[in-house]
Amino acid sequence: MTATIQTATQLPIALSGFDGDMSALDALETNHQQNDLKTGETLVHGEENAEQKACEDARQAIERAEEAKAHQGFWSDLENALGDVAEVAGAVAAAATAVASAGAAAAVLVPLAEAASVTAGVGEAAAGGAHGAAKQYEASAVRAMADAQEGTLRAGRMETAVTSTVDDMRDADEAHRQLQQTIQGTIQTHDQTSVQIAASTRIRG
Amino acid sequence: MNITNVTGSPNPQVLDHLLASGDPGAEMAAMAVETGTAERKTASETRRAYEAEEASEDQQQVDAMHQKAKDIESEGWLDAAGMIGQGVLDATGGAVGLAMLGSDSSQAGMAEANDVSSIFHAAGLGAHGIATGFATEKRAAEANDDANAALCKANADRAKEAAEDMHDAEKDAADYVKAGLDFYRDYVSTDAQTQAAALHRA
Repeated sequence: MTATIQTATQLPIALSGFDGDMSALDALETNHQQNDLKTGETLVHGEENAEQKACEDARQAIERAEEAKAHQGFWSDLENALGDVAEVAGAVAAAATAVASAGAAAAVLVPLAEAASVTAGVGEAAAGGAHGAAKQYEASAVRAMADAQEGTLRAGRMETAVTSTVDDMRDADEAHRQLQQTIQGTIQTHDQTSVQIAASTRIRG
Repeated sequence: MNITNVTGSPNPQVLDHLLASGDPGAEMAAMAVETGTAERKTASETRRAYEAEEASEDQQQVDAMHQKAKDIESEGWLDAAGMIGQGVLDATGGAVGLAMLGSDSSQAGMAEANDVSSIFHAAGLGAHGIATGFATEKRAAEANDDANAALCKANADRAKEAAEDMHDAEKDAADYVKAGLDFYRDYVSTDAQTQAAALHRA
């Protein structure tokens, strides 16, 4: 029996006889196994690089989030302090207005109430500015955390992909080995049988 | 990304050769291997689809978080505008009141300054209230963004589990391929033993 089959690299192999066929299949399988191994290694390498980059992106995003949170903390503290000033001034203005409207020391208390209103207003406006800044930094922190989450999820997917690829390579390698064992076992069994047939023929002859 | 399409199954040319060999054992083994390989391919494609779904849901989760950041920004600007507006009107009312007291410090003048100041204060509260109303809408949108992110995370987790199940199915299919090859090895060995025994008997 003569046949021609193509290897994975498209090289024709001329086959002749049972052992020839099987040996060519064995060689073909070895070639296929080596190609798979090479492809798998390239894939794992690429996936590991992507995973490392995703981890690095996540780490940088977490740093940005922490920095933004620190800024947010500062502006929140400032907002609280200014808010307290505005609140106290507002309370003073309200109390002075109430006492003055009762008729006591109006000449002093009414101007005091107006001045306190000015102070409360300035404090409130400044607290508003600080609140705006704190919220912008809070938004930056949330955005950075979203980026960190994106990096973490991407890294997780890449890690799964690496595990999966390594599993596939292991399975493929085992399948190749098993097929090669089958081919070699078949050759061996065929050879033994041939020898026995030949011996039997000689004995009969 | 995976290599199931390039690895994990024996060379198809080897299978073609076994299928065309005319040997029933070889053909049966090759068919088992082909079936296992096809099952593995299907499981692999389904797994890839679930992995793509997981990646898409992950991205939507991240998008929802980015949207929340935008809503927080808007909420911050609206709150700030309300507070600044109220503060400016309060301060203006006080300043106007003081100016009025400077020109008329009589009882009536003080009452009038107080009234003007109160009007500015009320206008400030109104402005703050309107801004707070809009800001509250943004806070509701933030809660919605959180819910969307949670939903996408749940979907991504489900897709991940399904992908893992498909990975198990791939392994089962690979085992089927192995069983086919084991069968062929045993078949060849048994066949040879039968032939040897027949020779001995002859």
